[in-house]
Amino acid sequence: MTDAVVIRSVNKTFKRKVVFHDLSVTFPAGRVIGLLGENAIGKTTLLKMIADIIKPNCGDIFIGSERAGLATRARVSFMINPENFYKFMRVKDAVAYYRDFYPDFDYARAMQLCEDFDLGQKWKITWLSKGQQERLCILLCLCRRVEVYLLDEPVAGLDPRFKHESIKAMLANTDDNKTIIISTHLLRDLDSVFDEVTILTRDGVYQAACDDIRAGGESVEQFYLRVTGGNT
Amino acid sequence: MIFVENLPIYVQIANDIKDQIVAGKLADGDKLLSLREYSLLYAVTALTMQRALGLLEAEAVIDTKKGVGSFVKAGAAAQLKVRSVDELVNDFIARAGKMGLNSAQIMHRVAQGVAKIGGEAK
Repeated sequence: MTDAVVIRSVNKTFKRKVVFHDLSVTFPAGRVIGLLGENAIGKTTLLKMIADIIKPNCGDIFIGSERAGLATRARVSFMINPENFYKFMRVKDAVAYYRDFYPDFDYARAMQLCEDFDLGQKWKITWLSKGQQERLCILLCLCRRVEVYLLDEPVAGLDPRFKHESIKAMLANTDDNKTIIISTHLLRDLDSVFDEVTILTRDGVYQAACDDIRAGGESVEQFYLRVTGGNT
Repeated sequence: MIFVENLPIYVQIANDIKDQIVAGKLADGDKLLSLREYSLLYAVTALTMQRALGLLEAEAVIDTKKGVGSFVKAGAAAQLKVRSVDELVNDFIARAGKMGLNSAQIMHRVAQGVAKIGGEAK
């Protein structure tokens, strides 16, 4: 099995705060992976480093066999925050922006998903509810044709129906060889779509296949609480 | 479908498909949905679905023809019924044994139960 993302001996600090010290972890290709961990453990930082939005202080990050950098940005889709849109933008502007910016963007698919997600083309993004903004960000992220998708807390503000719709869109939209890494606190909502979980703790990284955890008679949440339990 | 927490999801999906076969919703020789259709239906990844179908194949419940699809094996429903009755009986005997009943007592209680509520399907 090939690895989609390889992190090797990465250190990351913000001013004096150490987020990662000698972090090494790999994410296999073709899997849907849940990225879990307590608040402020570094989940978003890790996703941003994989997306080459921020750089590690030292260490190596590879997307497949290519070192993370400008070139790998064409192979990784990072879900942006609703605040990142310009104030003047309507839904159709954001979709057009993505189409113009990313050659791999599937415009027809995005238009279809806007309809499926009940998003009007002419609606101003700043006027949308949190859940609607999240839906827009998810669909824009998923409509790029890339190898690795990174979603940071994608369903936090969604009601149960749209949680389900978003999960379906995620599954329908990506081929089997695509890798999706999703950070979340809502383990119960998402654990049935994860093939594997990667759990960041202060004592290191734990990785396990979800069905292996369940075969051991434990729920994924119980496993999470057990491996993070030493710190709380 | 709502999954229980501590049983592998691919096993739960395989059981669900078996239930459909036993209930006659899927008959002998029927073509199953595609991997992708099932994956959306159960809202799980293709990998999980592949393992579920793999399990059904290993248990000789379905036949997968490359490039064509998966089909319910002839006699699968009958065989599954026998198997699930076996499981029920084994489970029942094991539990009754744990409660301290010996074979003769178990037989006696079953006979009593059948006499009382009848064995025929209602």
